[in-house]
Amino acid sequence: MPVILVSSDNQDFKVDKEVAERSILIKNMLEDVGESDSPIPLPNVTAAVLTKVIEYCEHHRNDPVQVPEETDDPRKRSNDIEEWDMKFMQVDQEMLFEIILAANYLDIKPLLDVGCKTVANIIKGKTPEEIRKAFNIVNDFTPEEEAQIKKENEWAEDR
Amino acid sequence: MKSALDRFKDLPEIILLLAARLPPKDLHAFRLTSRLFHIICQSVFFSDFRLHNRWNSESLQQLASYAYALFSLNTGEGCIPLSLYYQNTVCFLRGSSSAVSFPQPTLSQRPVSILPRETLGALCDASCFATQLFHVVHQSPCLAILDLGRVIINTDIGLTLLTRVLSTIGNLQSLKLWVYSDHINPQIILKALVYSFPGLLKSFSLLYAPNCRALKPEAWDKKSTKLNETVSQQLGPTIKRTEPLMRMSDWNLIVTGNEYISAEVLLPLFKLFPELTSMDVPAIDNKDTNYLSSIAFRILEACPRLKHLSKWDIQADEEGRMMFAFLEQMKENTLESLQFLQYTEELQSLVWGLDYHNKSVKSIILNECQSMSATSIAWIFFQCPALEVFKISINYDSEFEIPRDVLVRQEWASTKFKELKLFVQLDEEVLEPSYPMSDWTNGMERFCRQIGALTQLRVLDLKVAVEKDSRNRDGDYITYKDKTFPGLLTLEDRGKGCLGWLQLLSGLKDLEELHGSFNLDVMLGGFEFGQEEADWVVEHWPKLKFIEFFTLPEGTPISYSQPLLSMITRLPGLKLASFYIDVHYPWQ
Repeated sequence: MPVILVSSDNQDFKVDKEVAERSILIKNMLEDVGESDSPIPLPNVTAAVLTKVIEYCEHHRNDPVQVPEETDDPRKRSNDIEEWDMKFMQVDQEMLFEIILAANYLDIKPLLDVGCKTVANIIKGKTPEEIRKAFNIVNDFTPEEEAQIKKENEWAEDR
Repeated sequence: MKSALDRFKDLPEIILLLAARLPPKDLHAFRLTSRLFHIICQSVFFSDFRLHNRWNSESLQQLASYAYALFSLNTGEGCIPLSLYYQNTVCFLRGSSSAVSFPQPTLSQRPVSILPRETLGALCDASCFATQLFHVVHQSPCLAILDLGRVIINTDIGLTLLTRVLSTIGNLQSLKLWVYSDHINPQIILKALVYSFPGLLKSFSLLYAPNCRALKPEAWDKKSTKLNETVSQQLGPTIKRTEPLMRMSDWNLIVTGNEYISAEVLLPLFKLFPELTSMDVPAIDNKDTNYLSSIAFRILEACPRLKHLSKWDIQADEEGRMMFAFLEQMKENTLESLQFLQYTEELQSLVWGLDYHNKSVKSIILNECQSMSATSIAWIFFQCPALEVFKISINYDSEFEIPRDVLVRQEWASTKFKELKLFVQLDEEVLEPSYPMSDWTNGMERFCRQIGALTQLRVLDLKVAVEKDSRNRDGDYITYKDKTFPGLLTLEDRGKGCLGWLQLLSGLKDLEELHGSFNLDVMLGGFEFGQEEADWVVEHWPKLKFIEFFTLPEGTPISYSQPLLSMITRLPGLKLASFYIDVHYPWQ
């Protein structure tokens, strides 16, 4: 059964219910309203971003519900992005963060996870200055604070 | 409207998720970018403490002083109250759908962070290690992994303080420590630690060693008694655990020297871990097979989910009698993994124990194997259809051989291997590599075909076995790096009459690492690795990150040939060399 999603810029998207329900937010909304043809407004997601999110959900429509392995160290898992997901995430930086924000809003954990892994991979190997430049971050440390944290990093390096 | 990046920066709970994905070095860089990211990353930074070889007053005081400075920074005006989103993020990482479902710590498991700051500040002045830990722990309500390294405990007060601190780390999931003690026996220390475990603990590892005179003793000053009283007042009476730890899944205990922990002490402890799945089998001071079987049976009754066994202790129960008792007493085909340090086949064949579990065993790791017959090793390959990992390594007095022909007498039962590490004996004499094929080339082809069938393989470590005492003209040991597997990395070219079996490995699409005897400098004539082979590797092994083409002393410069450069260009991150320090021994 199709579901109609409405983006913040008023575009309608007709998607299969099982695809839409990859989003826990939408799934809960559908459960709350019961059988209804009413479109579902998504005021925090633009059409361009929703198109990408639907593309992701379509591809992963048959994935089993994710059960995170608690014993896994999450830091070790930033490399294990599926090939399709990696290609899917090859977008400009603005769109990458839009997808992450949409995944957070729509409560699509696997997409949020792959988004965070992608940003983590961008950060890997960069110096603080390079990260600031890449993500437009203003350095608001006092020189003393920065020196203190650097010292602590040195201490903790081989822990 | 704000950009997506700026809106992202307004969501610390997502930044925290991102931080949790970063390796320590990158996390350090990330937290140095701005005050906001520093504050957010702090909880992740302090969620994993590994204090190996740094457990001394000086280091801890240094750490405590940094932690104190960070704490000041964290509580500055305008800072985001971290506690508001810690719990939700932890819930996300654990896969819970809502914060409500996250198990709330009981009063006795409260994070240390709720203690008054003044109390901690006062305690920080002491040189007592438990007090400093107390202060450091305060920095992170998310502290989940704690590796204390070497801890010297020679007084009851020291033990009491440590257990009190541990019992308050409500989110602790993994605890590892080495306790050195001259005056407190391991049974007392083990019981005190276990009864102080916080409720979420999943993994525990203790190595106990007597006689720490060679080590610098921990400073126990006059304030210890007073501190004990202060901490007692804050934390209340010591609670002796009676409820089972339902998350405890991994248990490692090694007691060195002539000390043992009796079965009567161990059995009640194991009753607290009904969900245990992984265990380092305990050494019991008794060689009677029936007695050991009865102890294994009772432990298995208390911990019915055990499926991963290891034996790391090489002093007590040298022959692994207790491991065999477990293998026999476990329900048939329930063992999934087995690790054995310095296994020797002299007492009992591993085949006898594995015969009960050949259909379920997925992983067998024999580190520094002392002795094992080739037929026993081959039995594992022929009879274990679920096997995904097999690794065997040798040490300086190992005595076993794995002839290639024995390994391929029969098709392997499993093609599910993800990791394979083997030392293989090759024929003494390698003939001219050309058609018609001889016995040794037929044998090589069978071997390569068998490896090629392992289509899920990620790590392959194939070393040519060498005599351990043989040296070259310069007096250096001859090692696996001085030999190669002829033709394994060469493509066949019938037009030119050239042999090679690389094409048989085209199914290894997931291969990430290839270790072992593949040194380009000693490849046999007629079995070269050229441009065609490089192109083939790029096409068929797209995930390759390492191939051991060079094994050299650290600092040796390498000049790469054109085919190798073309591989590096097309497979980003590919490394082609392994470096070693000092002498390279045959058993390495």
